[in-house]
Amino acid sequence: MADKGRVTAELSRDLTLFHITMMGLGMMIGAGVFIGIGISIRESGPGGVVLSFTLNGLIALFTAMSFAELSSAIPRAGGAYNFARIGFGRGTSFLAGWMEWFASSVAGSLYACVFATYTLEFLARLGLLGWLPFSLDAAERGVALVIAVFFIYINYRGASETGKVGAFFTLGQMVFVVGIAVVGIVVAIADPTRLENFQPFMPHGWHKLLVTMGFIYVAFEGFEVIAQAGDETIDPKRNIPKAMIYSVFIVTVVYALVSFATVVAVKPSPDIANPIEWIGSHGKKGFGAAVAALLPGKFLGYLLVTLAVVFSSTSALNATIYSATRASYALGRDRMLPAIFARISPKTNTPYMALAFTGALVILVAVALPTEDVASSASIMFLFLFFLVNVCVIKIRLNMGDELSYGFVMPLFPIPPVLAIAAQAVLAVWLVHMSFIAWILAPVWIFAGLAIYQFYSKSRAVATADEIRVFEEEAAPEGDEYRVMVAVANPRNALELVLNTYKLCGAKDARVELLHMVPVPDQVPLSDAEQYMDVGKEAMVEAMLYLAPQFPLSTTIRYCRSIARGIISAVRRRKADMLIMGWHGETQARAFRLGSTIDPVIERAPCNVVILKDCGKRDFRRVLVPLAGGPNGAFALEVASILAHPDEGQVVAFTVGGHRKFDIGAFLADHVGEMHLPPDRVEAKVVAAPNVADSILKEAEAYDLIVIGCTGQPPALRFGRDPVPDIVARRCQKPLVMVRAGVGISSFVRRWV
Amino acid sequence: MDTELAVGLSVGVAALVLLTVLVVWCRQRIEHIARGKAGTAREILRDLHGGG
Repeated sequence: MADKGRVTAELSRDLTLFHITMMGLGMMIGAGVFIGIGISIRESGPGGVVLSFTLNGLIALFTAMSFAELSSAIPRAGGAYNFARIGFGRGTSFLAGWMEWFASSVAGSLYACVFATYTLEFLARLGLLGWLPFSLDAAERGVALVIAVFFIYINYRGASETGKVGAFFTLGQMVFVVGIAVVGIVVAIADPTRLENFQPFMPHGWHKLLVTMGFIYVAFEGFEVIAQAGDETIDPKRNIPKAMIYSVFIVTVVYALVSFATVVAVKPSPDIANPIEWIGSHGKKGFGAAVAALLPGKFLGYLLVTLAVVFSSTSALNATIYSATRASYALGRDRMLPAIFARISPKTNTPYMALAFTGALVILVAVALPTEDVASSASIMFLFLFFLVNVCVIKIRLNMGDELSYGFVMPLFPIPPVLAIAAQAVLAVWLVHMSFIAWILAPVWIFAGLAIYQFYSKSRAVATADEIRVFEEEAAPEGDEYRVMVAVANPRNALELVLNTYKLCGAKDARVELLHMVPVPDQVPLSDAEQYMDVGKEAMVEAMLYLAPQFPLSTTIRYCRSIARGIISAVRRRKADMLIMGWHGETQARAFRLGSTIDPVIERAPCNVVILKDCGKRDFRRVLVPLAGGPNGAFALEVASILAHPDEGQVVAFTVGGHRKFDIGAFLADHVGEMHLPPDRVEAKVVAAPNVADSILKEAEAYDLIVIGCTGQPPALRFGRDPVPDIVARRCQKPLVMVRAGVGISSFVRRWV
Repeated sequence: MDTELAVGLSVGVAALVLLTVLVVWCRQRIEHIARGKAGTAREILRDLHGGG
């Protein structure tokens, strides 16, 4: 039913997989490859350049898998800044935003430098720069400054190419670079002697490979911007992860082929004794020189290279200024940087102050540093940033994997992010051999960021509208006291929960944590969840009144999409040793054994679990504990001895003989020390019967309470048969407690393997 | 063919093969999840491994 008088707005979703893949490719094929090839050939030789791009592609794919997984699970995310906030909190998220700002700005400086280098080189070859009163290097700085200012102005006006128009520009770039690759392969096939250029394969040693890999890593930056198009993409949960992964794959293959083509482009001649040394001697212009030699007519070659560089570098420059501005604006908006960064121009609606600071940074780096140091600075900062994202994907999957809804989970987790972390750390360290300035600049920027956060941002940062409430919980508790978490949701269960919690906490000398789960529909942001809180509030207050005078008590309200996922996540985060929750009885949903909340909690909660059914205000004088030698039997006995009446309670360990060899007497003797009753009030009983469940249910009629351990059988081995404890739990009319002992590391293995 | 060239080629080809395998694997996962229903990491993994 439509709301009267209410106007709703939604974004038009019209970007396809093709458009957003092109968006990623357009960002990546910026300038890194054009200046990187010549310098890499100089540093690590013909084999080194091809291997550098190929191996970097693998590392970039690992990182793209992390971005794809995080983007699919956190759709409102603004990239590394939000991933770090959710994974580690505000301090790390500030650092991520701070690094992202610098990395994007310096990448912008690099694109301005490359634009200047290749356009001036082309003009010089035409003989149009003879009149210059200063050096070509100074002219390059001037052109870089002009082009940077031009695109800062374009960004101030708010103009930017849309996804569809950008896709056509990128397609043009792709046609050019793929064309070079194809020509290179054809030439190599037609004249196999060109392959001799690959010998020696790595003339300066294999360690140089790490140097060039680190140096050209900036050429793989850009796929992460695909996530920003989530609101405009058709079927984003499917298309965004695909586009990230496809774009990295395509760009890796293209880079490898283009670098191959560059190596075979030049033949030995009277002027060029050693083609590889000749290409390397051109440094950042080596790619252009080689391609000009590859294509018929040197002028045509230079023209095509220059046009490709102009298109690539300008579109990438525009996009990086936009990205860097957005990063610094977000920091200002959240008051992690002064509020001036968040000022919006009333005339153009753009964050003009963030843009001004970003522009100043872009220009300063472009004008003050040599191009190689600019490229190294951008690479090293992206290495640090992607390193952080790879750490985030592990932390978020382990801590919140049961809470978030994923559209993609990477294969072989956590191997890809761990390999990426290791590789990125090594490449960042090795970059010191390429640019000492970059290795000074990057740590200085990071330490400056840490100082700003510590002395400025920490006390001023504000919660933003999209900050998810569940992530604002207090920190995980310290110390080794026993923690009992009580999940209270249903007011009808509250009394029985607190009475039995009282007994269990008393026996364990425990600290109590009351957990109130508030489910919120998917259509409502968790930040607007307070309207759902009233349900269950009464139960919470009642529980607090009972428990607070006796035990250290804290209370957590947790908004969630799924109660089970929320409980498991809370248990993990609060490091609970025991979880107590109520159960109303048999489920109506046939897909579940006991219930949609109970089943996953029993299976996955990383602690002891105690589930109470119909355990109201009663004194349990006779307690039955059915045993069959399963892993939860000892814990069931312990819980039974705690819940039994302290003076008159009697615990009967019961087993149905004939099914398997289980010596109940020996079992009791082994565990009598863990029980909270004198040994003379614990006895064993064995009966012979054909049906175990029926026998237990019949025996239960004479008892006040049944305490039964959950099945220890893995789901895969049940073959569709209901385990005995589940049948008993569903059919038993007496008060019943189901228990499951925490199993530590094995539960982790079961969960992920 | 000298040893350095052979090792270099092997590393390069292995990296490209691994890259291709991972891309295909990721694509299959994305399609599988898209055909089914998004869920928690565990629910998706259980579904992918046929555990119901």
